[in-house]
Amino acid sequence: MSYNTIKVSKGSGGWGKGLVLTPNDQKNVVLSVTGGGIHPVAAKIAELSGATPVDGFTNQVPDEQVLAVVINCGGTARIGVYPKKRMPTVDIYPGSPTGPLAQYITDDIFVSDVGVNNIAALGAAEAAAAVAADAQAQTAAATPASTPAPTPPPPPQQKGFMSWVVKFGNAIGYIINTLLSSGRQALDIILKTVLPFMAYVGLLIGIVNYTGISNVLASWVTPLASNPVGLILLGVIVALPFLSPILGPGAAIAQVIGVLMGTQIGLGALPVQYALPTLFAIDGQVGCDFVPVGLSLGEAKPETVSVGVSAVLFTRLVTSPLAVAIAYLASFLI
Amino acid sequence: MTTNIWNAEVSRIGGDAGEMIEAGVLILFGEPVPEALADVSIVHTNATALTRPVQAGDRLVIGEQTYTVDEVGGRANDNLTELGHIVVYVNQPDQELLPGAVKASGPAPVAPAAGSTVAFTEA
Repeated sequence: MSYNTIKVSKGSGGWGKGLVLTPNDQKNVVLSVTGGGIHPVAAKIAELSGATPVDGFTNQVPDEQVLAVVINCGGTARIGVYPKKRMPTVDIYPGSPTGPLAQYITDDIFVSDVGVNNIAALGAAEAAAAVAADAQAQTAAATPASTPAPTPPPPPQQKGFMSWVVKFGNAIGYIINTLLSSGRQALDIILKTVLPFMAYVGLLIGIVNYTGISNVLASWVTPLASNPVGLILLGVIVALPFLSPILGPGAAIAQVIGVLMGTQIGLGALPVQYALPTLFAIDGQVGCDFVPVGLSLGEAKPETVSVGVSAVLFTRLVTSPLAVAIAYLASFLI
Repeated sequence: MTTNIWNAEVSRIGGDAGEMIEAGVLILFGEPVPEALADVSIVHTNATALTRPVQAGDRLVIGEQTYTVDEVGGRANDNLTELGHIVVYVNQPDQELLPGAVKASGPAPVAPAAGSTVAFTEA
């Protein structure tokens, strides 16, 4: 049985910074304490991680075998009991620390408003990074935990002014945390998505400019631009899935043929009706280099990216010549 | 004559339930229940089906004591049906009403004896 590291993120109304879970031979049970059998979220966690889902109401499982506990708690008991035992807790409902056990519900052990879509497998590199960070956190957490501290009693219910102060403090804390995590996410996207994309486009432009491949191609396909069928063929060529990502950066074909056709039309050598179909014919590759980055910026899952890129590239092969044909027909209306 | 909406028999009291009860929080769970939850709960068995949803104004009888239900959280009835689970906050009107909870008022809560009755009744 192979195990995978997974990440459980909070939902839109949820709480917590998310959990990274890695099962092993000792810790491989996802305990579903939801009633009505195994909850789909528990099933998904088990499926992606390789652990075994177990219904907590009908089976007794020793705590040390439990990778994570899935609960659908509306408030008091389950939301606190499992975090108190320092067992990673996944709440289906958008709970946040409340009730007599609120002090135990911390963001390293608890995440809420989790749906099936908030569970993702981590790639090997991400997993290693997450596990390293986790290990640090655990050594930090283990030190105070190893001293046998008496269980603190539930905090007394505060009333009036003090409760207002506490609520105010919580609200400020919430706002600051939100701002901080949005800053963290922004930096994360810049580092992991935008900068690599710039490097990748820099490399492509370098290759295209150094080899002159784009200009060579442009001079080869220029004769096509003088008749409608040639334009459609040009639309097909620039959208070929292995060419379009290379032709995108630098836009050599668009520049060379665009300037050429523009001059010809300006001189009156070609009818002005050629302008629109040419525009579509030379721009079929636009954005093809950006697809993977665009998808990751949209927080697409890795599987979506791998399927999505080829899907977009191949649909371009169909839509690009089609656009030229439509533009050609439409230009008769001018 | 009071009509029972729901009743069950207390089977055991969790080891940490006393603390919770002193703090005015009664956590009910039906058998079977994971040990971790049983520790803080009043565990009951032989529960009847709800004849109608519990609502404000109903009575909650636990052992010798009777409370009046003031407010019912949005998920409380579902939890009671599925798991025999409900959380009762006694005499804590300032507490925010959680979806799975019920707020009630009445005498200071004490732990019921095993074998006693727990019931929701019509007023």
